[in-house]
Amino acid sequence: MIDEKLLIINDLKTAFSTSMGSVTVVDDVSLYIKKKETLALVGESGCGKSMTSLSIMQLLPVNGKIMNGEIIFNNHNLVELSDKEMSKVRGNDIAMIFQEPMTSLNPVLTIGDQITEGLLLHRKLSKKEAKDRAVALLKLVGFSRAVEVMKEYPHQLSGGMRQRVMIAMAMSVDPSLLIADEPTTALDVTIQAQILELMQELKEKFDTSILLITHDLGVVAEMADRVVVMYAGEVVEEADALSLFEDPSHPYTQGLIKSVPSLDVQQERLYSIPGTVPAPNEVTVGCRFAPRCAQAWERCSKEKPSLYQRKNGHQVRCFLYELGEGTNYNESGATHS
Amino acid sequence: MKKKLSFLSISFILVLSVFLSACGNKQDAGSGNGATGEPQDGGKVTLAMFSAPQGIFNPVFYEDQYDAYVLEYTFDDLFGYDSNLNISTEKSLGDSYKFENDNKTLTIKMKQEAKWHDGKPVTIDDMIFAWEVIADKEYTGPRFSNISMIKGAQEKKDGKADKIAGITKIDDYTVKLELNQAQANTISEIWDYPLAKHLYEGVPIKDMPNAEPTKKNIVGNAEFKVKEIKANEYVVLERNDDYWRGKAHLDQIVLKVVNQDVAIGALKKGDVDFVPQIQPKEFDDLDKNDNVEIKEIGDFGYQYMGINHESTKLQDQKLRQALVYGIDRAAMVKGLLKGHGYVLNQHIPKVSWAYNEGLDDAYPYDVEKAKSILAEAGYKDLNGDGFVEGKDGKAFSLKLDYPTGNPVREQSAPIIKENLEKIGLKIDLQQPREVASHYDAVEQGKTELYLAGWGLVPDPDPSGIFLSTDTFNYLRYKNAESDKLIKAAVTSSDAFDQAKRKEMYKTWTEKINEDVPQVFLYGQNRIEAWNKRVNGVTFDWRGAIESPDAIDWWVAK
Amino acid sequence: MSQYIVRRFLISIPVIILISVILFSLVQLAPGDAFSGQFDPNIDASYYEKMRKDFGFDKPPVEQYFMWASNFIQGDFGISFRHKVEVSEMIGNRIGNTFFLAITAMIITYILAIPIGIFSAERPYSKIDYTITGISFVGLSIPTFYGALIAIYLFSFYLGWFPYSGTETVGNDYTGMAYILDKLHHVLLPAFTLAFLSIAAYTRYIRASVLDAKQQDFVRTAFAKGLDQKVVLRKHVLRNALLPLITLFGLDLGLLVSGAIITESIFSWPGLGRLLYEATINRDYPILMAGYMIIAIFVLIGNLIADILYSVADPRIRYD
Repeated sequence: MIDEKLLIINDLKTAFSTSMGSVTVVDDVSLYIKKKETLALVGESGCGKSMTSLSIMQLLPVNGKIMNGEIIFNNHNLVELSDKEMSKVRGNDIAMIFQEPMTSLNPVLTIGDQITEGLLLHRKLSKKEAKDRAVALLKLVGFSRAVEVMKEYPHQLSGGMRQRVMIAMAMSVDPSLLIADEPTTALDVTIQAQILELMQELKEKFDTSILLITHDLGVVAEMADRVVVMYAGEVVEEADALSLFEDPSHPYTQGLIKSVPSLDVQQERLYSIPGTVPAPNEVTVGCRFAPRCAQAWERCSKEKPSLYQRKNGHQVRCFLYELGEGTNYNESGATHS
Repeated sequence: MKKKLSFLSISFILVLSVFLSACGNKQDAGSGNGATGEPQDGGKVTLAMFSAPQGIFNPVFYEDQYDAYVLEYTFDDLFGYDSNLNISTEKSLGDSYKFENDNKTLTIKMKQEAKWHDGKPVTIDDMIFAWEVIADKEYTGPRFSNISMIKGAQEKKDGKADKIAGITKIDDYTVKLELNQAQANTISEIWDYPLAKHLYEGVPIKDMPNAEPTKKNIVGNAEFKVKEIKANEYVVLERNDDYWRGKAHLDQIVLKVVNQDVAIGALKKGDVDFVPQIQPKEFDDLDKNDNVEIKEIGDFGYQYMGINHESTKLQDQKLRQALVYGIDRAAMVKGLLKGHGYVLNQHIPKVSWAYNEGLDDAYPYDVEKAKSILAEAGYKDLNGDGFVEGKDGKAFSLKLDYPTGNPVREQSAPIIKENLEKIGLKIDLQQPREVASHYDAVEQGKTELYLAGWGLVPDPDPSGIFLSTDTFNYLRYKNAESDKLIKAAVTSSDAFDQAKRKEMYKTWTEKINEDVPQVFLYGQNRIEAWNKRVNGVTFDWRGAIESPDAIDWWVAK
Repeated sequence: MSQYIVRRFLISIPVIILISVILFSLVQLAPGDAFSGQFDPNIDASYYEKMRKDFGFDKPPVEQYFMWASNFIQGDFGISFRHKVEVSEMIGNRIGNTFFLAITAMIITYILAIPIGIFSAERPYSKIDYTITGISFVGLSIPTFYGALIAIYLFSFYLGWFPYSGTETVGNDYTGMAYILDKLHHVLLPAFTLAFLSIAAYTRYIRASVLDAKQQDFVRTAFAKGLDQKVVLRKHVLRNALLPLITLFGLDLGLLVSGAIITESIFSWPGLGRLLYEATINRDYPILMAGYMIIAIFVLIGNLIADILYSVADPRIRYD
């Protein structure tokens, strides 16, 4: 049962129609989340991770569209659901919290109103029952003055407190999947730790799976069971958390890990991956990371690598692992046709 | 995207224009009856007023033009005029009058049949009461000049007497007055609207203008009485069945406030029956309309270009004459008034018995003559720039000021400038100001040439305006000879003979015509229009609305 | 809150005094006085002199101001120079009419502009959105005078749907419902004409405000909770998008009252606007002072109400 997959994404392709034509931001992405697992989706800004999560929720902005692929959840392909059906899933089976707690709450409605909103919609509760449940949730997420907070407004709370409210809101409906898009990025480091701790607690308590989107490897190390690394709209590496940190395979992942400042080693200069992320509408031939990769050779800029399997479900999109385990190629490398 | 926007906006405007032109041509309502046929009783007629009356509905106290409209049909006076501007009592409360004692004593007799709308008779007591009220020092209205000729009136006003000494009641319908001097136009000048003593006695005089009989429960004495007043909107009058001249045909006259720009549309639609003060440019359109009767007659007013005689620039009579020759006044009448007016050369309206036909052809437009007069006077163009220099050889120009408020007058200003520059006079045309500012400048002598107008009254006496001592003599024209003639035409014994008086005005108008105290420009015709369904309408020098013959109006059922 | 109201009230007093001084100075500065150009040569000139003296024109302006001010505070608005009628009487008749007209215009504006604005914002950049924008621009560009005449010729003369003058049918004796209906029938066309400009402006404003609100993060949160379009629009978007309207309300009332001048004129609507216009031409300063002071007071009250409403509607605004 632990191994059962909750959400499966197959070959998801999401694009935007802009004045410059169609721009693909999620390019053939496949991944899955198991029950009770925390999957971290990692990458730089613009790599498509947020768009992937919005695609799951069918909350893409106006000119975005899922062009291809399927998202299987609860035996349904979410892509094929009507808007009405999807709204029964949203905020019910799948809940989402966002990056900006300061603006994600409606300033003119009370906290209590906003928490009970989802409850009243998806569960047949009376107003009083919903209120009681909201108070309980607020206590759960750490508000000692839960009853007073119910009547307060968002502007009266700090960022950290608002994010707690968002979590309470999300968890109120007992979702099987919680998507958290950079939930701590906008918060102070100390608050960050608290929020993460809270999320972990709740996950245990409610048996919720979490899709955690972040660019912060520290967060990944804290929370994730498995990790998917994205670059320029594609999945470039997938592994369980331990393996990822012990044995980062894709040059990009390696670069990422190297970029994290270390307290142990004296560094003259902070490491950053040379070059920049390609713009979404740039058409690239070959591996998207090749221009910045120290280990790239000719083939990389001509041919696109697929995801190659290593052991234990560890996948890498790099020619270096084409021939499987234990084989490493260097620049002068393999013959190819 | 942009194309779509403008396309839609344009089509919207086009649609609107279609509607507008369509309703321009739509002939509506009110099938006109021929003027022949027997008068029928009943029905109602609506008059348009361009602005709301103030609501002071009593002749002694009112000051607003639109209050006068209402008073027209509800209050009678002792003396009226006939169609030739002769004094007549046929349709008035007066019966007869007689001058005696070197014309210093005036005996007035009233008719005995008239009643106030509340049934009480109108007697000489009411007339005397009116005079006493006006002479009272508490009286706030402007009518004192209409009783100042009665001996003792000034003394009462000054608080030196309780009553006017010169008034002697002979009987209930007769009074004898002692006058300060013999004046041929006494009957025209004297205040002749009685004031209902039984209603106003006991009301403090300064409260009378706002008292109930003045504002709410109007008690008049004429062919219609006030039925309903809706402040600022309309007044409904209904027929007075007990009127001494007989019953009017109409049941009601409604005076409704209607904006001037909308009134003509309302007339065409048949919603309003009478519209006064029609602009010349509307004439042709209404003339073509089958349901509308439109008539015009020379008005009691005229426009002129005033000359500030205190300015050193305008002392030369020849220069002033050149001004008149140099302005094409006939063209103004034709072009600006579309022919609905006439060139004027005197301070007397065309319809008056005193009008001097001999002046009709004076000062025809003559550029060459104007130029030669200027040259004669010493104004020559020395530097060839097209404009004459002053007699001292220096640059010479004249300022022309004009007010807003009269579109035709505003249009005439640049035309005058153009005309005068053609004869070589440089004109400095000022920006138009609104009326109060304009006249303020004129009053203070800050102008040189200025445009203005006068409204006239049936009596031709020009005192008040042309006497050297008059406050309203803004021209500051001082001519002793003219003063003498003016006074003689009123006070001399010859003046009491209308034919002789006419001669005196002939002399006076010719005299000042030569001296050019001001440049008379044009008289504008009074134009009124009404729905043809209204029959029995008399249109004379008073127009239709102010005629005493509303009693004859009738509409077909 | 009550403290706040009291404070605002107290601050308003010097504001009103300042307004009265400015108004008075402006009137005095204009050349001419109530009797300039208003002469009848058949009336003795001394009459005007007496009038001038009676009304205190010969006194220095400062003294005239204090004369006026002390009367005004006691509720005596003085007597019109031109018409010799009590100013309070002249204004009293008309002020009700102007407010009736202005408020009806406001209601019409809200009833039309809000749905149209929202409608536009729900389908931005579509054909119908552009059409509405186009018509709005036409509405904003048409001068009131012209618009009023078109309205009369079209809806009154041509179609005969509405009357073109007055507040009631002439000589009517309606009571109760019939009376109210008659008044409504008369006010609708001038109110609509007056509102036209506002409707155009408000539609644009609301469209922009709603579009802006829709982009907000909390709207995304609301959708993420599974709420549907309608609920999100009503509960989340509109409650935020329409807040700024409250501020406009305060200003608008004052603007409408004075802006009604032309509309009142064309429709022969017996209101304050027309009275003030004529009084300005006539330099009739008792009317001007009283009239504009009343408008100023109402603008201040309107603003105060707007601020109070705002604090009720927007929890972020609280006055302590």
